[in-house]
Amino acid sequence: MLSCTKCWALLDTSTISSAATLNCPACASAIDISIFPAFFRGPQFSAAGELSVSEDLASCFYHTTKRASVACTRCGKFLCALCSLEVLSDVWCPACLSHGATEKRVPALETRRTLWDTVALGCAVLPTVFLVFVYFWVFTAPATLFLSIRYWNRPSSIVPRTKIRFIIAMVIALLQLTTMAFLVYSWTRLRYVRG
Amino acid sequence: MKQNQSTKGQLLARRRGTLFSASLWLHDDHVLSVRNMRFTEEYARYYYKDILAIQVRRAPRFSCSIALLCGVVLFGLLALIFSNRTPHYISAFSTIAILALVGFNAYLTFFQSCKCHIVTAVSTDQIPSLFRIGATRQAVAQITERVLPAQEAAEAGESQLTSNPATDSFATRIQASLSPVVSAKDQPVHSGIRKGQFAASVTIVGTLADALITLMQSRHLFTNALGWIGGANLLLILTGGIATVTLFRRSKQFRWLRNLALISALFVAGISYASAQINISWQMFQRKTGAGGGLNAFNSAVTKMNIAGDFCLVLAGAALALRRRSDPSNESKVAAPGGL
Repeated sequence: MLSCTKCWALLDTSTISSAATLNCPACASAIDISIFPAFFRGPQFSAAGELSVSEDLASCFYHTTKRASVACTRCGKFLCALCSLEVLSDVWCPACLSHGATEKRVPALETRRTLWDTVALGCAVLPTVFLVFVYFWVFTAPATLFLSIRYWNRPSSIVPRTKIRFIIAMVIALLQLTTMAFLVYSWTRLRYVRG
Repeated sequence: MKQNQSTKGQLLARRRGTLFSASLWLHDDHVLSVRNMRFTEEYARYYYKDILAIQVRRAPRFSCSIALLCGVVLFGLLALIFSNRTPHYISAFSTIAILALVGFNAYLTFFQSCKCHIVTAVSTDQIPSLFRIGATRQAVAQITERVLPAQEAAEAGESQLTSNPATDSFATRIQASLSPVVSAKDQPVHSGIRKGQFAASVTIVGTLADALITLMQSRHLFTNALGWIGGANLLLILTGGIATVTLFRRSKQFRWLRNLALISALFVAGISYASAQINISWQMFQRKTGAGGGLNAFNSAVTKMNIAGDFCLVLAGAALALRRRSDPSNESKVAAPGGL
């Protein structure tokens, strides 16, 4: 059953075969619904591992009483049908999957990334935009350079993205540092001339 | 395993924003929804074989694009610069342009926006990048083109493994659902109703513009420039009204008193506008012949009535737009016209 996306009341989808407009019985919102064949399919259950019929057959690494049907692509452990997990057209064991998700080495398993190039650019630009914080250049400019160099090779976004933000951030940070150096030099020079 | 920094996919939709943005990417075996929160990104993947349904519901979605902001700022600066300088028409044009941009954005926000949800077995998630109806229809059509073969292939693979009587009835049902691939233009909403809704929406926007123009004219602001714009607006209102009636009659949705009242109201707007135009023409004639200038009490009353009437009609149109809408496929119930 589908629910209304406004009030979450259940919708009557018995008459829909592929696409239709339904009215929510509770809030009367008109909802365009496209239903796909998987909707009519029942819940999918993974195959239970077959029991090992004899001592000659290899058994699952995690379930010793069950027959192995496939080996993990990463670590080579024998797995039963219950333990084999399909990831990126490979078969992984639960341990490798967990490892890959926590280490963030597999883009297909990642759900969140920090955009360090935007952080560096923000660090460079924000104190300049809000002129009150110009005095923070002394901290933000080195921090921008550090972030840009430190995370230059770190994968940025899953979707295509260039390194232009890092470059702009570094250019701005260098300009800020140059400006600060010039101001300090001018100030000391002025004091020297007056004194 | 080789580590991919970014995956290649086809960009389906994008929503830009100052703090938050979003995009939708079509990959070989899944749809990737990206939610960008400026310094971080969140990803949600929907594999084609897991997508059960896609729901699209009309809802107001405000979005202020950078192009719109730039346009408003640019025209605002022009209006300020030329407010006390010649040529005066630049200031008038800039003011009208700002109003048009804001009005267009309001029209998109209230009449052409939607919320799109992807339903899987375990979740119903909103896709933030799909928020305009046109783009959503195209995206849904493209996703549908990928989902159907993927699920068909998955089903064929399963049916080879298991064959029982229950599967046959299921397969028949799948076949029935697969037969027509829904294109972007053949979405569930009737095309006649959709066109009629658009025409009525245009008429309502024209009425709002009429109210603002008349208000400015009554304050003696940009009278000459607005005279021409007002004439074009009258044509828009009348054409929109006629198109609305024609299209709703053709789609046999012209039944309820509500619709009749609305269409009549649109015509009244046109008539009131025509009276205002006659009024202005009469004033110009008086000025030319030297019979006298300025608004007399009657003219002033007609202008005020025109403005008030226009605003009332726009409010009525907005109220009807926000009313519960019926299922157009149901003969007994009729959709309100005009995204209205």
